[in-house]
Amino acid sequence: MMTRFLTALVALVTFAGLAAAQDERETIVFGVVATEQSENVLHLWEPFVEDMARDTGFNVELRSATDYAGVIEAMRADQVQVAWLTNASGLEASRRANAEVFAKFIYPDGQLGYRSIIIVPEDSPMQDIEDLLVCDGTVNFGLGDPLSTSGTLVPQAYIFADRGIDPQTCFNQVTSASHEQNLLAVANGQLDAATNNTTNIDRLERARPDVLERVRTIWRSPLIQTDPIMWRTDLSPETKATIQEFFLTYGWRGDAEQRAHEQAVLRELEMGGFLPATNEHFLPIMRLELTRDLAEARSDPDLDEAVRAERIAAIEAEMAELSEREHLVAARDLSADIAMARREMVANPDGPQDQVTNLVTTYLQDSPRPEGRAAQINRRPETGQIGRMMIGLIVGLIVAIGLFVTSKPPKYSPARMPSDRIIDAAIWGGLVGLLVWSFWPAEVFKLPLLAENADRMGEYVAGFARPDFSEAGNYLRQIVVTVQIALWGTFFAVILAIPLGLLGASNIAPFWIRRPVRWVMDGLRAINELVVAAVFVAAVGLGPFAGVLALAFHTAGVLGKLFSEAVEAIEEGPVEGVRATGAGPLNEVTWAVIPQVIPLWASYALYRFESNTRSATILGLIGAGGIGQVLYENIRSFEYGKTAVVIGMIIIAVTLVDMMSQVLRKRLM
Amino acid sequence: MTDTAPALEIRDVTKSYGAMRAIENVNLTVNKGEMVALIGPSGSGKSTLLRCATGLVVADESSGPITIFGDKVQEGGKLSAKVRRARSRVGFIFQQFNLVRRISLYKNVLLGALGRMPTLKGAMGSFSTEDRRKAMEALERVGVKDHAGKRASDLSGGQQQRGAIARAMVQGAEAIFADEPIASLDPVSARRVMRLLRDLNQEDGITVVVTLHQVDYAMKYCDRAVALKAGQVIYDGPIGGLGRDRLIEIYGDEYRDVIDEEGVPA
Ligand SMILES: Nc1ncnc2c1ncn2[C@@H]1O[C@H](COP(=O)(O)OP(=O)(O)O)[C@@H](O)[C@H]1O
Ligand SMILES: [Mg+2]
Repeated sequence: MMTRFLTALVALVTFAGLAAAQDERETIVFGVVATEQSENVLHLWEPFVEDMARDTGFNVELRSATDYAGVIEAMRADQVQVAWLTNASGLEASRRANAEVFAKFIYPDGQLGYRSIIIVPEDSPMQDIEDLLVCDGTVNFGLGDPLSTSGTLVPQAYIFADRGIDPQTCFNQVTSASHEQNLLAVANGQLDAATNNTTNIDRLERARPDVLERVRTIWRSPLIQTDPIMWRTDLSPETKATIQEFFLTYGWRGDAEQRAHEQAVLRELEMGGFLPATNEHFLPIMRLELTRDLAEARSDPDLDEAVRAERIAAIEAEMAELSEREHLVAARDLSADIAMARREMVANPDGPQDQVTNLVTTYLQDSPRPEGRAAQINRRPETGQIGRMMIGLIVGLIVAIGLFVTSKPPKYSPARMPSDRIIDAAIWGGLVGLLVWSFWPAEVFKLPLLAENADRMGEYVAGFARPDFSEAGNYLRQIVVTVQIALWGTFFAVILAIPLGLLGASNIAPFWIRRPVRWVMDGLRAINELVVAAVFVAAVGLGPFAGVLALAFHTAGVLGKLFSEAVEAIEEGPVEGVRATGAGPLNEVTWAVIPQVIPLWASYALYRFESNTRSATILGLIGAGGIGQVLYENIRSFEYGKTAVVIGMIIIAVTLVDMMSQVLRKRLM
Repeated sequence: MTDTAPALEIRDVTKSYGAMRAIENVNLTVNKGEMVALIGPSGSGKSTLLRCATGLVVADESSGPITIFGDKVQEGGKLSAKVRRARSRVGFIFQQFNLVRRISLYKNVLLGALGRMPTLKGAMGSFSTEDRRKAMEALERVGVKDHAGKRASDLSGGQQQRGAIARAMVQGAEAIFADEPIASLDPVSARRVMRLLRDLNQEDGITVVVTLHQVDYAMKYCDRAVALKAGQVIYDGPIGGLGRDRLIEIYGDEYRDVIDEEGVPA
């Protein structure tokens, strides 16, 4: 025992030693959102990040989240120091994530913004925005991500709030999805109208002209500012200066070759360079929010008149203050100056090429910055694949050898073959080696953060102390929908699994049928419900039915296998008994196989119904409706009190379903 | 042709498991109305022979034909296209009863009608009134009518075995092949089952072939004995021909001590 303990100790010390002997450059994590074509967006940012790492001397890492809330959370937890956000999410980040704007990008053609649009199918009778706003409750309308500027906020403010219209009552159904999903849904006629933006459309003009042919724009918003680039305010002044210099000069410095390279990188990102900016960048979006609030305050029928007047006065006061600040947007001037200098550089390639650099340097020297504490740096060992494998191998070997040596049987005990001992030692050594090898890629070194930053998770927990029951009725309805999705998903799955289970059983089907049937089942099982759902969303649109299908196919694979195993475990005797009466194969199955497996099958089906209720909750995350979607939307809009209520209700509902199905299963067996 | 055909005819049948021959070159003819005991030590091939006879086991390619009332069951290692028709004319009784345990005894007995029903009708369980009447009558005759509604698994071995015989009756079986039908039963149930088989043979003219490992039962209930040893028929003749020496030849030298202690069964 003692010797084993020592082995473990030696292995641990070696591991720690190797881990410590790593590079310790300052790490800057650059966060981007990659909702649509996740891989691709990351891929496009890679060369930029490489250049940034080389020029700034920082260890720059690219990190993506699938939604804005994810980036904001990461920034709040100091896991992301610099981020590319949207106007609405950026405003949220500035309010809650200790973040501020230091730059914004411009389009390759020099445009300073983009527009939110409303699209309809090409053959739609709708011609303009008034046609959309008939509000006869027949139109299915798609909004963007709740924090999307162009997909949600701008249309809310400029279309609905302005006219005092509530989309929920105006339309038949209002869904929330990414720009891509909305575009496809409109092109396929699954939505009658949806929001989108000009950048997205421009990008798809090249990639998917066929899709664009099938949609038509009926409304365009005023110009929206481009997206902000933000950093955590507590980065050190030196770090900030280095980063800002890099951004503002990128694409517009160095020799022709470097400029060509950097411009090419930017062009892929649909950008033409960066301009300086501050939190003043959010003034327009703040105005948007206030406009929306004002319209709401004016039109809300439930509001007491005194309260209404009070609220309107407050909003108007805020707007006045906002106007003050709008006058003080100094950064704009600088932006204009730099833009002009750049145009000159293009127009006059032989002239001086350092105006942009000079302007930026002056700006950096002149603008006073508050002192920030030094950035909390994630010290992350830069070990290559090979290095990790070596460390894993060494530690694994030490453990294995140690185990082999110490596993020598004591006197007066049954002898053990040395080969057995070698195998045992190799298995445990191998396991430890694998764990060590996976230590960095799985970022287990962040374990201490869990304790250090426990308070940051506190807000979620605090939500339980201040539960918000205002929409509990709706949650209940959505939970019922979720259970209904699970019910139909499981039902379809059982229907599919019966033939699959029978044809996949070795005592029923010959090899050449059994094999392909098992492949089908393996395939169905291997694909996660979320993936299947994403595929079906393309076919049947967002909503519960996509969830039903996803559950049905995945579960059919799982149940098919379980059903097969049950069939293979039956007694052969009764089958022979039926066969001996002269009955055919179909009757052997109906009368001798099915009765034997029915209780087990039913029990499996009920069990899957339980777990499908849980899965159906998750499916809501990708827009398959039900309580999951409500949960996700609440998390994304930082509604902790509501989130707590939803989670609590889900737990109760799932527990109830579990209990019911357990009682039923007990009766069956 | 069918009218004069023997109940069971087996020609040159061999069945091997790997290199081991479970039965070898067996020839056997059982005429209508006979009650034949198939005896022999464990592993001598009794079950294999009986299972080959209804095509539950497929014999070797070298084998000749097996027919039941003139309907071919198999030949040359292939089941005949008519095997289901042949099977439907024979009720098969197993040592372990082989009823479907989770359905009622009554349903089990009804399953005897499947062989003469269209497949889909059978699968949907639409049995005719005539079949239902037959099922209840058969249950009454074998004496388990009172348990008709119970699940097979809730009945005793003897009751299940009588249910299996009732199923053969619903089948309209002209012959019954029973493989160790009483080996799992207590003496009282065993006697009931054997008497039932003999009644069916004597009153209804049903041909019975029954494998038994208790020689005394064979002597008491059967007229003819066929003895197998190591897969070969070493005796085929009247039951009375099984004397001391024959039995020792069939069961081996150690049987001598059994006889010396207990006497020749009568
Ligand atoms: N499915 C099988 N696979 C391999 N060997 C078998 C199989 N069935 C029977 N045997 C062998 O064939 C021989 C005859 O068996 P069986 O017909 O069951 O004998 P009995 O019924 O007379 O006891 C035995 O040696 C047995 O082990
Ligand atoms: Mg046997």
